[in-house]
Amino acid sequence: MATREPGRRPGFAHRIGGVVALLVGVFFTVQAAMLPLGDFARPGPGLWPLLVGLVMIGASILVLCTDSGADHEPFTASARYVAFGVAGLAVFVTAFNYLGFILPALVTFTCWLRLLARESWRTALLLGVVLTALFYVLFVPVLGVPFPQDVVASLWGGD
Amino acid sequence: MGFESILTGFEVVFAPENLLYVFLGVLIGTVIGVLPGLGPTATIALLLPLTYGIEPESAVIMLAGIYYGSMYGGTITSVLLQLPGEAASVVTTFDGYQMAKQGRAGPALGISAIGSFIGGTAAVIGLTLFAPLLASFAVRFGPPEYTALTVLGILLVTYLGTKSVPKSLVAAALGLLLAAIGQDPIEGTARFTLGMTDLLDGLDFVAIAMGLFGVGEVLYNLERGTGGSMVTEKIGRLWPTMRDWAASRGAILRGSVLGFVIGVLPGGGGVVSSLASYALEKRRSRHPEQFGTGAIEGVAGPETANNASSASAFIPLLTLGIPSNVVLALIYGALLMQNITPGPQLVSQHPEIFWGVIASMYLGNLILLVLNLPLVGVFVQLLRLRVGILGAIAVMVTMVGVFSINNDIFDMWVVLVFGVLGYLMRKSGFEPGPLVLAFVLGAIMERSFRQSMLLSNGDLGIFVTRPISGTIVLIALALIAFSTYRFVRARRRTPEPSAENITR
Repeated sequence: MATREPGRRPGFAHRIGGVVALLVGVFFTVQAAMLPLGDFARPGPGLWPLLVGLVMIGASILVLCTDSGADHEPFTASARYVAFGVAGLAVFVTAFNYLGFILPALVTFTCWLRLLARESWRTALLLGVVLTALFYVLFVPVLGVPFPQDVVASLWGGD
Repeated sequence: MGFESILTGFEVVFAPENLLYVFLGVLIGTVIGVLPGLGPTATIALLLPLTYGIEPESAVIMLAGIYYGSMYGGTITSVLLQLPGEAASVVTTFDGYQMAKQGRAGPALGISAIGSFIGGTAAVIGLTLFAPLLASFAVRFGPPEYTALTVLGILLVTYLGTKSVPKSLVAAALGLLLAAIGQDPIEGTARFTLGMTDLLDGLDFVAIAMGLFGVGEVLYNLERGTGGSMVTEKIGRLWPTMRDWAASRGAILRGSVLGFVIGVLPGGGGVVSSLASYALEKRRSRHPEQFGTGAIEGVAGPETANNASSASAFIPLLTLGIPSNVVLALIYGALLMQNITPGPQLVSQHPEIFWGVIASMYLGNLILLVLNLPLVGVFVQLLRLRVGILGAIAVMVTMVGVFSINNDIFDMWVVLVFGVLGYLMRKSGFEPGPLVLAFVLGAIMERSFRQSMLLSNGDLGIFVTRPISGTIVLIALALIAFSTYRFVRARRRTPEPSAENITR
């Protein structure tokens, strides 16, 4: 079976990628098989994805059989910053929908700069204000992108 | 092709706003090439929504400038800090950083800039001469040829320049499946939508690219937490001595040709061409033992080659409508957003784009030479910028940028989901490149496959019996056979270092 680098703990972690790929391949293949397949002379909507799905299953099995895990990077404690980043962006997208750009962007910028980029609170807040203003000016008056109703801008009659 | 055609191109480029876009493109390219943690792919992905509002030829001119500009910029950090600003400059760290440690950073940067200029310009001349010929040949291509060509393209991309062929194959297959989400292109049946109406129109290419490359890369850097870095080496005089020049002249000439040829192959741009040139120079050298200790040929050749390849990589896109690497796939996406499908008809239907891009490269390379020789010290100052701040700006550009394309919150969620996927793929050794390329090619591939089947009444032989598609299929089969053979042989022996694997 797969050869391992000396010093690397044998484990299952590096196989997760291959297993997930296999499951995704199976999912698409099964879904495709439920669509009208037609035949080669008159291919239906399901035929092409079915073929590709089978390729994906085959390639995933190949990965599982051959992968030594040498290019797998274990998750470090710092991976929590990634989780914070993703959670912060999810909150931003939700808030953006209801509150418009200015307030959510200011909070996201400041928190990101302080907690993830590890700047001082002063720098984070200052940069947060400057960047939010720059983005707002670029996207709203200059590019004319219709952002959702902005609670902050509506205070002085903007939108 | 007539001489007037390239003049049309120069007319486009010398329009004031396009002059500005060439300049902006190569400047942004140099800057992000210098900044570690934000490569050309991520930057172009981030800027895609902003190109939506400008003329298509201006958009492509600017994006192309970012691409070849980053090839110049990446050199600076490779030489001074042993930190490649983008993948293609990895090779430059081998000898460039050694030269810097010996106090010869100036000549290393100087010869790179000059070599890049020569390689880039030689490749653009090649592009000017060959692209129209190939386009006129490709006009005769039908669905079977396109099917074969896209299959070969994906195979080459999964094979060249990737760490693990099976993993790249998985990524490519996933890209093709994601491309199938939404309404079937011929009958309109909904596929894989899981009942979500937002998915009926399929996933947006820009959102996927921005997520995988933009957000994915920022998240990946968050975990590594790279800080700002300082340059300690003195650059000194830039102009190479006569001896340096004599040593690198041959390398620059060979690098130009090699880079041009490799750049045309799918997956061949950038890092593959610079690795190949390094290997070639080392093999030809009368003193190969000096490589890795500061041999100027080892800087000149690869830097020339990667620039030449970034120009010739435009040939398949402009003539066949097939992007040959991920950056070109993004540029393809930018054109699709403007309702222009690149292909053999591009030269006749949109000469302003075809010739405009080509002409812009002559000018862009000249600007880069001027920017890079005297201003290298200014760019080095950029390294003081902290990666964390850059990341905050990049994610916000991505989120707001993707919203601005369709004014749709759903696309923001797509970016976030693909950002997480991009991060996880990097962590587990799957490259996002083949996925994005396959996603772009997916629609062409499926349509041409199904049209071929309708044409031939279900006979798969149609791909083999037509001379052009038959030849392409033969090449693809040879490639599969060769890589299987090498794979089996490699498993019996100890694995070689990847640089040697790719070049041999």
